Amino acid sequence: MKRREFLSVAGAGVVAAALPSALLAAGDPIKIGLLFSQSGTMANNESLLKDTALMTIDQINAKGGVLGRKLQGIVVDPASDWPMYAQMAKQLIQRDKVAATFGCWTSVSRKSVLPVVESQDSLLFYPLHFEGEEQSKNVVYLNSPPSSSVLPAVEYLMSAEGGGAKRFFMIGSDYVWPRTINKILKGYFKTKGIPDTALREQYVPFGHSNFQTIVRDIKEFAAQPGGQAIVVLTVVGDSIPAMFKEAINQGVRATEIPILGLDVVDSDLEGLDTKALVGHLSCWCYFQNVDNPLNRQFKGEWRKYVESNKLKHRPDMVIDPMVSTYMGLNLWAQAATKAKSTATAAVRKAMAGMTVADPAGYTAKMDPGNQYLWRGVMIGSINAKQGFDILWKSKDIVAPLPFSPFVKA
Amino acid sequence: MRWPVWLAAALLMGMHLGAQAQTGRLEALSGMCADGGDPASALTSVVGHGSTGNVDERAWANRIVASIKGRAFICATPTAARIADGEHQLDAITLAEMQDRISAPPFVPSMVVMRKLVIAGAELDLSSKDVDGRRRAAEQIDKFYTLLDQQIIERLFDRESDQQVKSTLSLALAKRGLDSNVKADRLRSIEIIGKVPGQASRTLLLNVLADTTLDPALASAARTAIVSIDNWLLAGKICSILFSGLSYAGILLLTALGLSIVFGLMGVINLAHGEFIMIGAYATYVVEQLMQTHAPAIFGAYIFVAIPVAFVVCAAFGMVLEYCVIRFLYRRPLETLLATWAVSIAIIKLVQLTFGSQNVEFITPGFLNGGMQLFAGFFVTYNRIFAILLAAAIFAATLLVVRYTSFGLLIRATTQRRDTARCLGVPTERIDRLAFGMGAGLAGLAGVVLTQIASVNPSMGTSFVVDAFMVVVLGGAGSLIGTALSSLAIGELNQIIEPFYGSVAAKVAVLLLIVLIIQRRPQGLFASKTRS
Repeated sequence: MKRREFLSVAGAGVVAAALPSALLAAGDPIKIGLLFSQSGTMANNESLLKDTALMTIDQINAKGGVLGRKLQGIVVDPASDWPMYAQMAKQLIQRDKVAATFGCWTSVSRKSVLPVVESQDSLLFYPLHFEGEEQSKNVVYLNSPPSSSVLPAVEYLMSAEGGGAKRFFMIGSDYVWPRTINKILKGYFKTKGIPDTALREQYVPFGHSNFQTIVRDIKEFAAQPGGQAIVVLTVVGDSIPAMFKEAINQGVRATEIPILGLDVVDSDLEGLDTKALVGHLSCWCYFQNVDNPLNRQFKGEWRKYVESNKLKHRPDMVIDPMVSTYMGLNLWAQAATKAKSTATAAVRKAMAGMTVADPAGYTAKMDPGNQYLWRGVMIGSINAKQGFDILWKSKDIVAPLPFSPFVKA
Repeated sequence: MRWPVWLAAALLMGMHLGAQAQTGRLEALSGMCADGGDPASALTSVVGHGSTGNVDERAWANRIVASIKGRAFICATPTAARIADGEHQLDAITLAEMQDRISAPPFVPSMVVMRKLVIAGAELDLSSKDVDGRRRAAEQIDKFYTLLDQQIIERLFDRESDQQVKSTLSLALAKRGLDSNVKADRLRSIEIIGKVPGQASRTLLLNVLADTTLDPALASAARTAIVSIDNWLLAGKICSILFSGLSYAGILLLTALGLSIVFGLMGVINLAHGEFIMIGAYATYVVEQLMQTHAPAIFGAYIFVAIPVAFVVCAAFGMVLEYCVIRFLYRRPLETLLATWAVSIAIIKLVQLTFGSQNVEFITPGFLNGGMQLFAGFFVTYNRIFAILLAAAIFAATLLVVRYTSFGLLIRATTQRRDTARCLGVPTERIDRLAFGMGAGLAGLAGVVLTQIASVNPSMGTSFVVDAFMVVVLGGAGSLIGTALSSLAIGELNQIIEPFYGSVAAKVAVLLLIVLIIQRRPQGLFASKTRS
C-alpha cells in the first residue's frame, strides 16, 4: 500500500471512529483501551496497572456497567517500545473504537501517544506522577505534577520537624523527569535563599548499578559545613535497589542523611534488608498503609483478584499508580453516566469539577481547567517490613500546578 | 470524655505499679499522642524519667524507645497509647496486656524524633552491662553530639571502665567543648578532634576558624590539625577511588571471563551470555531458599554452596545449548548471533514464567553486610571485597585450567587449529561442548557474586553482556590475561573519571577510548599471535 493510499484509508477510519457511539447496538460492550506493556523493561510495573484496570472494570460491570452496557478492557502490549505506544494507541482508537484509553508509565511513552489522542480527539488517562510542564485536553492527568507533590514534601523536610534540611544532594537517572524535577527544585531553592554551594546535582546513566563513588560523595558532602544535608533521589528502575544497597553497606542512615526517593515504591524494596533503611522517605499521593475503609476494601479486592486469577503479582502490595488507575476508571464511569454518553467531548465536560473517592483518604477532584486531578500529598517513611508508614500527609487535596514557575527561572 | 474511663482502667490494671511511678510515666508520655503535642520533647522526658527512676522505670523507658523505633508504638487516642507485641497489644503505661486489639497505624517518628530516638537509646544503653552495646552507643552519641545531654554523658564518662567507650565519649564531649569559653578547654578539644581525622572533624575545625576574633594560639592549633586531616583525607580519597576501580574491575572480569572463553577462544558470538549470569543468580536463589527451609543453622554459607551449584547448572545448560544449537553454527557468526539472541529471549521469558518478573529477595549473609572504615575517608564494604577476592580466585583457577591442564591444551589446540587437532585424534566436538560449558559455568559464577551487588531479575543479564563483550574485545580475543587487564583498565579508568566528571561522562570517555584503541589495534590490546 502506498503512503498516500494508507493515509486515505486511515482517514476513513477516523471518520468511522467519529460516528456517534449511539449508533452501536445497546447490548454491545463499551470498549476501554488498556495500553500497558507486558513485555520489556516496563513489564513489571505496567502489568500491575493492566490488571488493576481489568479488576476495576469487573467491579464496574458487577454494579451494572455504564449506561446499561458492560465495559470491556481491550489489552494491547506495546512491549516497552516507545513508538509502539503511538501505533497501539492508534489501533485501539481506530480499529477497536475504544471510548477511552488508560495507559503509559514513562513520560516518553506518553509523549509518543500524545499526538495520536490529540489528532483523534480521544482521551488518555495517565496514572503516573511525572515532571509536569504539559497540558492537553486529550490527556487526563490522574497524579500530581511536581509543584504540588514534590515541593510540599521538600518544604516539610526543610521545616524544624522535618529535620531542618539546608543542603541538597540531587541524584537522578539521566533523562527528562529527573532533570526537570531538579530544575524545579533549584528554582525553588533559590526563592528559599539556599546558595548554589549547598546544592549538588549528579546524573547516572539508565540502569546504572555501581553507586560506590556516589554514596561516598554523598557522605563527604553531608559532612561538610553548612548544615543538615538530604539526598533527593530521582534514579529509576534497577538503580533504586542498587543505590539503597550501597547506602546500607556504606552506613548511610536516615537519621544522619535522609534520602527522599521520588520514584521509590514498595516493589523497589523487595529483596532489600530494610531494617537499615528505616526512616528514608518517599513521596506519592498514596501509600498502602493509610488506614481507612475504602483503602481496606481496595486492598482486599486486589488480594482476592490476584489470588483467584492466579496472577504473578504480590497480593499484599498496592502502589500509587494502581490506585490512580482505579480512580481514573471510576472517574470515567461516573462522567459517562452523568453525560449519558461515551463521546470524548461529553465525558470531558461532565468530568470537569467532578469528585471521585480516593483510597488515600481524600476526595479527589477533577480540575475543570487543566484536567489534572486534585490529590493529597503524602510522605512515606520506610519501615522494617519493606513498606512505607505515613510520616506526613497534606490536610486536604492540593491544587495541581502543571507549569512550574521555577522552570523558566 | 473517654479518657477518665481509660485512666481508671489503666490504674486498675497497673495496681502493682507505684502510684508515683505511674503518674511519672503518664506525664512523661503525655505529649506523644496529643494533637499538636511535641513528640520530641515527650521523648526527652521519657528518657529523663528512665534515667532518674529505678531499674523498672529504666526498663519501661527502654521499652517505649524501642517500640517507637520499631514502629510498634500506636496512638489509640490522643491520651492513650499501646505497644504492639506480636499478636497482642500492651498498654503503654502499665505494659499490661490489653483484652482487645485496635487497628490503627503505628506512630511514625519524624526526622527530629528519629534523631532524638538514636541519642535517647544510646544514652539508655550506656548504662547497660554489655560492652559492645556501650561502644555502639558511644559512637551514636559522638555522631549526634549536638543533641547529647552533657551532664548525663559526663556522669557516665566518669563511671565508664572501657577505654574505647571512654575515648569515643571524650571525643563527643570535645566537640561540645569547642564552644566553651575557657581557652584551655577549647585547645584541648581542638587537639582531640585533630587526632580523629575525617570530614566531620574538618568541618568542626573550619567552623572554629570562621570566628574572626579567635585567639591566635587556637587558630594555629586548628590550622595544623586541618592540614594533617587534609593529608589523611587525600590519601583516603585516592585509596577509595582505587578500591572502587578494583571492585568494578572485579565485576567486569567475572562477567567477561566466561565470554573470553566462549567468544575469545571459540569465536562464538554468544548473546545469551548474560542469561547464563542470570541463571547463575537464580541458582543461587534456589540454593538460598532451600537452605533457609532445610538448613537454617548454616544458612549464611549459602553463597559458598551456591558456587559449585551455579557452576554445574550453568555448565549443563551451556552444554545443552551447544548440543542443540551452537554446534550447527560454528563458522557462521551471523546465524550464531541471531540464534543466541533468540535463545536469550527464550530464557528470559522462561525464567519470567517460573519465578515472575520482580526482583528476587536475597538475605545477605551476615559477613557480607556493611563495611569498615579503614582510615579517614577510606571505607570499604564487605560485599565488594568478596567480589574482588572471588574474581581473583576464579580468574586464577581458569588460567590454571586453560594453561596447565591437558583439557586446557586440548581447548587451545581445537580452537586454534581445528583440523590439525582432529587429525591428531582430538575429539573436537566433545572439547567444543566442554569448553562452551565451562564458559557458561563461569558466567554462572558471576551470577552468584552479583546477587550480593546488583538486583536479580530475569532481564538482569542484558545489562552485563555488552560490557562483557567490550572487555573481551579490548583485551584481545583469545587472551585471558588480556581480559583481566582490560577489565582492570576499564574499571579503574571509569572510577577515576567518575568523581570529577560524573558517571555519564566516565562511561562516554571509556567508550571513546575503546573505539580509539580498537581503531589502532583491531586485535585488542593483547592479541594472541596466530598464523591464521
